[in-house]
Amino acid sequence: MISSVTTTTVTTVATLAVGATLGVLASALLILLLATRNVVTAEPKRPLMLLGRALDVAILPLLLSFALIVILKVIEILA
Amino acid sequence: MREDKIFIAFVVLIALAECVTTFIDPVYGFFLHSLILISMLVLSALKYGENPASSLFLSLSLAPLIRILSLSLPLAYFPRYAWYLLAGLAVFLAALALMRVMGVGLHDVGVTFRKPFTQLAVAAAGAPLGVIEYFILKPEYLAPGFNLLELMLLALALIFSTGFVEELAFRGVIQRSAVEVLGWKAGLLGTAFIFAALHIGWLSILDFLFVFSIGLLFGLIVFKTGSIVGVSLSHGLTNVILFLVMPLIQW
Repeated sequence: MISSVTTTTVTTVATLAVGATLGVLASALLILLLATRNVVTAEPKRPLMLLGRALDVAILPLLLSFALIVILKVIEILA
Repeated sequence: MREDKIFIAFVVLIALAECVTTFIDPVYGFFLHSLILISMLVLSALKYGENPASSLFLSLSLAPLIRILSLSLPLAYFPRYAWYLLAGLAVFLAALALMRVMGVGLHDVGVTFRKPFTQLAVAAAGAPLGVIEYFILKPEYLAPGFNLLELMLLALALIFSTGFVEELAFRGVIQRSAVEVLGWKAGLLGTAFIFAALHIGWLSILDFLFVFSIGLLFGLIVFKTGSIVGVSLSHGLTNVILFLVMPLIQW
């Protein structure tokens, strides 16, 4: 296969207005995950520690997305 | 609740979230995918005593995460040909983080050149598959121009981001965990359906069926050979033919 799953729906949201809304939502999700990670890893219980590690799976790529959004916004303002 | 029931619920919810994203509103779709993602991460932690089940739920989190990333990355600022590389890099990062948490290496997820002649034959099959899919989707020419160097770089980007990264996520990580917990038949079927469901955005029932069939075939090849190399190359070659070669020939 076979076309691509990663960019399938991008054409439907590739307008700056919808893209900005989704960027804000992704940033909010990142903050929620980071806050949850901080809370759950404070308790030395195994399931909570594992949840903290599992959250890293989503946090790392969302950080990349967030960094790109910030860099592009800064460039947009400076330009 | 048993793992198989949760797995079926997950498959249905992913398809529903894709339909909402495509046909209703991407913002609502984003919320649904986020809920599925968080549910899978929490379930994986709750099942910490049962390692295969915990790994299955953790690996399933890749599917909603792929859509969340593709929706939220600021791709509109970049030319279309750069979308695949950016989205691929983000998903690759997620897959690496997931493998680290699961405690598995690249060899465990099939990044190994077992049965080289079979792998090469599978890779070559990507060319006719690309031609078939072109006549199903008829996509636009992806490259910005006709510079040979640019075309080669774009082809490499497609092979890495849509071939290797997507096969690593679906056949390497998700299918591996699903087969371990649910058995090979349910594991292959479920993974192929999730893969096809994430293609609903292409708005073609024929493509959905085509992708589901190829997903099953690729799944079976990976299951039998233990390697994702052949299917990754085949997947990448399909997309090179689909997005670069066929549109150019038909022009």
